[in-house]
Amino acid sequence: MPNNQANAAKTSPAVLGPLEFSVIEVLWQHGEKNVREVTNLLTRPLAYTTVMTTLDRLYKKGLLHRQKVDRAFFYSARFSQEEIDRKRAHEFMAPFLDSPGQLRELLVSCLVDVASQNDEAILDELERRIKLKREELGKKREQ
Amino acid sequence: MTLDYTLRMACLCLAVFFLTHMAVGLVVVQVSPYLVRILARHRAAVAARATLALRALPFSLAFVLVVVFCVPSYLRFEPPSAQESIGPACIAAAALGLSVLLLSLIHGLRVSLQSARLVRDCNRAGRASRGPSSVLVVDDPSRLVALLGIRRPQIVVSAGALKRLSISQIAVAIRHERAHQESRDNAKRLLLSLLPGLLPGWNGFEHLDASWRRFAEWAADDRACNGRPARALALADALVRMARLTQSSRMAALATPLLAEDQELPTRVERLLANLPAAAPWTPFMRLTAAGVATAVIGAVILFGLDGQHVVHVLLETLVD
Repeated sequence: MPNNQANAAKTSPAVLGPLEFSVIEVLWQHGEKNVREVTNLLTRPLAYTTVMTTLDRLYKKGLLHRQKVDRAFFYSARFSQEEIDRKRAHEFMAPFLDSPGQLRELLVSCLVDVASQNDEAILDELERRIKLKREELGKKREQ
Repeated sequence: MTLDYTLRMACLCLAVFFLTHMAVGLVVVQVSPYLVRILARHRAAVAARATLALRALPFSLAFVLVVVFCVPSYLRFEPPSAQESIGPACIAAAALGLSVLLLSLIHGLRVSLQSARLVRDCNRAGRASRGPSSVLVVDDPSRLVALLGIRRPQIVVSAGALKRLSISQIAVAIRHERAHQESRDNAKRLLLSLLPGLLPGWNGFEHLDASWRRFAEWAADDRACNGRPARALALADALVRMARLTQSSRMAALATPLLAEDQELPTRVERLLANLPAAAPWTPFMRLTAAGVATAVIGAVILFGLDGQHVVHVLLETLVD
């Protein structure tokens, strides 16, 4: 791995812009691809050069592998989506956890709030599905 | 170090136990995620049994090796008068073997006492419900529908759960706990507590234990619903309603609650909402296959046991040095 790539990977591997994220998502879903293939697989139309620059930036950040086949570069993701998500979560939370008590408590209380809201939302969703299933069964019985 | 005849045998047996348990255990730990994924596609009752068997495999193999091969070969080939020193590696392995066994025994005793205390408290505080099925009702606002105890398991329901659930939901929740009772799941929990970990302070089998708990819950769900969609819906509804109540403090490692903290509620509800398989018992073919495998293993052990003692003795001599 070139030095600049290694350094970039150490500094901020997980900070992804929206465009970078959609490009790397293509590689997670489809595996190794060249610039042309990534351009075709993207859901929104983007210029070839834009995709090429984005792939190059991701490579320099240390998030992609690349190899030259004939005259084209083929790119593949170095980390799985789960690994990247973990890094992003870690980068987001590390400053809070390293800070003095008050900020750390704030983070924990926010997490607890979000988790309990999320739990309630999950339970509401499950209840809705049970209700739907019950209606479905009722209709079947009537028929 | 020079030890007397019996002590040397104990030391060797513990060392062999530890090494075998460790080697088989590491293989089991490595393959268990794949096997659990495969087992999840089969009937829950079969998956639960297979997971438990896999968890018990390292201990069973190590125990069989010690009892069937090591002890007889030592008694047969080792002259009582022989003075032989034992190497430090063998002593270290024996010490580790003794530690993991003692720790698991202490853990088993601790959870048994905790469970007995919980049953006693519930029996004191609770009142038996009216009706044919004996259920103990405790005055507790939190969620509690659980099977407690090992020798005479008792279904305990909290007043909070009774208040929150409809009659059909309580009925299916009790059927679920009865299914645990019939499968002797609390005794299996005790067995899991008694099975040793890989090293002192490192169990290593947590994933397998959690998988067994998940499959056992699924199997009890299947038996409680018995393929009837109305029951499955009532149970799914009961689970969601129970999740909205706070977890009861009356809980022990050897209790089987309807809804435990570590279980994935959405997965369980989804499973109930999907078409449930009827909780079919083992087919004659499955019983025949299991009996055939067991007979073959026992036969192989007996046949090898006669000739293998000498081989084992040679290996033991190597271990001693």
